[in-house]
Amino acid sequence: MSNSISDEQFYAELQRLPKPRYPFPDFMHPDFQQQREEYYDWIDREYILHSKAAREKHKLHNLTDIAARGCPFLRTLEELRPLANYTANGAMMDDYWDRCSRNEMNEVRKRIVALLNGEDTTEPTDNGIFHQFWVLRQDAIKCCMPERLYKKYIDSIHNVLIGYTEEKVYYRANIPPPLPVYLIIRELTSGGLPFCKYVSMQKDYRQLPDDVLAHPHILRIHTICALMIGMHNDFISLPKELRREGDTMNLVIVMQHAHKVPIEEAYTMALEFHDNHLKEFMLLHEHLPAFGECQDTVYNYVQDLGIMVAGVYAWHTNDTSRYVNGGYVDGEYVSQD
Amino acid sequence: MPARFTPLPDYPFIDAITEHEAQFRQEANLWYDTDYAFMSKSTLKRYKRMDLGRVAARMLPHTSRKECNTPLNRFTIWITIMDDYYELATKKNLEALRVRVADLLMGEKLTADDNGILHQVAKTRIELAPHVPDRWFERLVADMNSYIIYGMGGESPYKISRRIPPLAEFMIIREWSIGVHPYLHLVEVENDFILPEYVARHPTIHRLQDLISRLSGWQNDFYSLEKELAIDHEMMNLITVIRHEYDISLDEAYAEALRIHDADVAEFVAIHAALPDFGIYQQEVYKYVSYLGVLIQGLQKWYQLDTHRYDPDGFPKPEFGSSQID
Repeated sequence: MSNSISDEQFYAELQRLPKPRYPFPDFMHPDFQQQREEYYDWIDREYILHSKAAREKHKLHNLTDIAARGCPFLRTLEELRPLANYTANGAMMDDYWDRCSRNEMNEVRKRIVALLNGEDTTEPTDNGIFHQFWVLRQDAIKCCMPERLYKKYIDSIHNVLIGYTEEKVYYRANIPPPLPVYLIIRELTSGGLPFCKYVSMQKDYRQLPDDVLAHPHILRIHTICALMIGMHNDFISLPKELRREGDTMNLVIVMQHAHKVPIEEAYTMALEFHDNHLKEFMLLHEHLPAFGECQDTVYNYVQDLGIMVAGVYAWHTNDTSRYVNGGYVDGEYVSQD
Repeated sequence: MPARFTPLPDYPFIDAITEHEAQFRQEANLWYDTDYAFMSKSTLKRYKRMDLGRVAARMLPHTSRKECNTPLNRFTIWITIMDDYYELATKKNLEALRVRVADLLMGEKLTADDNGILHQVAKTRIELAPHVPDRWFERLVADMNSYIIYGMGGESPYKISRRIPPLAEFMIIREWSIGVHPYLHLVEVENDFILPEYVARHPTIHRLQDLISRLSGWQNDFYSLEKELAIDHEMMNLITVIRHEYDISLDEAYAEALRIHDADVAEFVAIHAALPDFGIYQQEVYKYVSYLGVLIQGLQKWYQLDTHRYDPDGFPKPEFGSSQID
């Protein structure tokens, strides 16, 4: 794609369009800097498969900050690690395997799931991404993550990987999916669901029983959070995705394709769609089911889900390197299919 | 039923009924006179007029294994009667019920305390066990638990306090209170194809199941609207909730409800047309999803042609915890 002046102006125009706003404060975990240092170290040790340029770009993105902002109330760095690991490696694997086939991604998914649930206990000696997921399990055990919460956490990571698998079909064909299919896939690939599960590691939320954490009302709130994260990512990354062939999993592009409207109009429709989800979140927060003596704890848990979404968004608006022209790491894995 | 509100829902799905429909009806009548005989005469009379034997005959018409027809019919009738019977049960009573149903479905033996409904649950387990793996029962029990806790239990606070919930909250409760989530596992038996774990847990399959559950809730609300308007304390009907939410007329609320319903149908059709690649299982999964559509179509036909459940005086009183049994 050409980089003429008019293109630049076009993208600058896009960036001037209104952005999502959240009525929640955002915070950052006090150990974020230490977590960053560990992250740089992972990249230097584990990501030797990637080019030097890709590694340096990844460092600039400070991907572990997303975890530090999403769950700022975790008690220790030990507790932050399993979330930071998933966040950074999930994002980097998504970049790395960007152009692999659906079948290849399916094999990656199976291996990661086996490492996370302990079916495969052998420490991987190959590709750093697999090794990092093995480390994630060890770190979760070390920080005494309750097994019940760990199971929910890795089940939701499994769903993220299913999302990465299913989106390949649309990337390869270079066509946006119909809106209902986008919603299923984007809820997964936004990576928001594991964050929703991990929010329960904060404060005293781990005491909440499964009747609360698996309640359809709470699960709907999780879905809304994951979709809002996917959508706000779509708004920020739109200029990058319009430049790149095959980046079709973006709500604005889906709306444009479905309604045959100019991009600005599609953007407005997409933002309204996002805002309706935010309204639903606020309403469900104020109308929680009767949870008896847990009522206040559940109310605060949902409040912290809102803070999580605002925190992830703050990473997007504060990080000025990932979604600018040339800042993104292109998929270096060459498909064998 | 007289169509006071129109148009009625319409579906692009196949309409079918099993060739064994006479058997379904005979079985139902036999069970009313035996396991269900502990209920009052007037309740049993109402059930006989409802023609519940036609529900499974229309919702699961393609069952290829003949010996599965009886347990599918049996399940359909006990889940309906259980929902009516325990309508006014307390949270504690519902929890006791949930545990008992789960244990019986996982193969525990009956005790002297179990009522006729639970006897029917136990028989369903025994009849289905040769045809389905344990993991199928585990998935069924997980959804049955959610239905009893969140579905049967979710409506009662509003019914007791006579409040109408906000639409967004109502939609979550209604998806579970209609009781169709656990019921959808029967479609795997009908299709003679138990979904492999990867398919059963796939978010696309879950979304399709959610949509069918929602649709059956909306559909029930359309067909029970007149009965519910007559009794004047039904807080949990989509049309009533919409009317309250937007402060609009009944006709406008009906139109909006139909719009929500139709959007769900369109979403279901779009996802069915773009199913993920399930490899060697593709054809079976595609057929399973088609049968989900057949189910909702069949249920509509039952409302339209067979039942008197929603006629004035057609609905049984909840007997559990009630002292006024005639």
